[in-house]
Amino acid sequence: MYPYLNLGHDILLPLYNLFIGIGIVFGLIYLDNQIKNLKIKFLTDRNLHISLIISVIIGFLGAKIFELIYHGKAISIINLYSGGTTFMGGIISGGIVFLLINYLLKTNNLFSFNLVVPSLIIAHIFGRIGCFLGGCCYGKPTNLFFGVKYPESAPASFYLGQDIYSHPTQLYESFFLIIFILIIEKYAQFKNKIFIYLAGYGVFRFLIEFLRSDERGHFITELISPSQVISILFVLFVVITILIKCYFFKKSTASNNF
Amino acid sequence: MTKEKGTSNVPMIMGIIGGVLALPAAVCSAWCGEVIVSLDNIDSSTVSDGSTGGTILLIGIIGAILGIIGGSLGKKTPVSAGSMMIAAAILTGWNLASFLSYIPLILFLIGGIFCFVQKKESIEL
Repeated sequence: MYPYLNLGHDILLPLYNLFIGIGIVFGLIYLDNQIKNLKIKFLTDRNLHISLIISVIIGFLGAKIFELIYHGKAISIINLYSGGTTFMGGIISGGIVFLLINYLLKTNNLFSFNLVVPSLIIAHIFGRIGCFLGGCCYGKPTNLFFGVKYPESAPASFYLGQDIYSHPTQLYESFFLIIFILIIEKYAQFKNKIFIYLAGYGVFRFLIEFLRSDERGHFITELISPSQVISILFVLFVVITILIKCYFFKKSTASNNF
Repeated sequence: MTKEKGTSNVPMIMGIIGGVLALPAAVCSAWCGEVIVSLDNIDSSTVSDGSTGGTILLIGIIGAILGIIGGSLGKKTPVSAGSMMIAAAILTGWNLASFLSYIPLILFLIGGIFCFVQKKESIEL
């Protein structure tokens, strides 16, 4: 939509990158406030920041690698530069790295994941606005009044054609995430935040993918997009965790009765 | 046992914004560097092997990552974070082939200086 901010003298500031940066900054400020409110010890706080920032960096690399895998391209330096990123790939790779580093630093994993969920959502809200400005992750053509028309230089205009109005799927996602974080912060118990996030975002992402029009690639199956496959895995993970918890809860209640 | 902790968010903001802008700046600088090398060799009709651009890119990416890590640890370990950000500024400053590189350079320098001069508080470990 508006990919670069011209600062004069041909200095073009990429707004997609800038918004991702702003999102990470706001996410970290929110995390700091949570750490202050929960009176978390300094060493845990420091370890959490170390694992988080390494996970973010590797998550970005993972997001690029997953995108290449989806499109069946070779993982090479040139392809890594020219290719896009996928949020779900970033979540999986960053999440695994976060899990491993927390394990090595002996930080409670479930606690850490629950702590960083709101920050992740905040960063994601800004990231999607960055996508909208960059003109990527666009939706299918629509005649609805909130359809948007991208400028000639945007990828959306190149693939959809000029003067075509399409669903602003990036803004739908940002709007959903704003509502979602309000719900999580107001109603969810701290210990359940990560599960509510995975299930809620998984369901939303599965549905929004039907409105997406950009090249999605394929992974495992060609019936649904790779992000929908991962969304199903997220929801399945949550369902299985709930079932296991219920099973052990019943077992412990039964053993307490005797 | 006590430890000194920073109180300012400035290094974090400067480090992360600088880091995310340093990545496209590195790509831009690498491209500019390759173009300059190609123009220098235009008479000798030798083809560039891409090593100049590759080196500029690698240094730029290392600078960006150092800046992001330094910025995010600006409150926890101010001295090492400040050193990382100054190192990131030097690495980014080495790649001034593109004008975009001036922005992360300035941001890393401000963040690095703030890491050292910010108000600190003592905490019990």
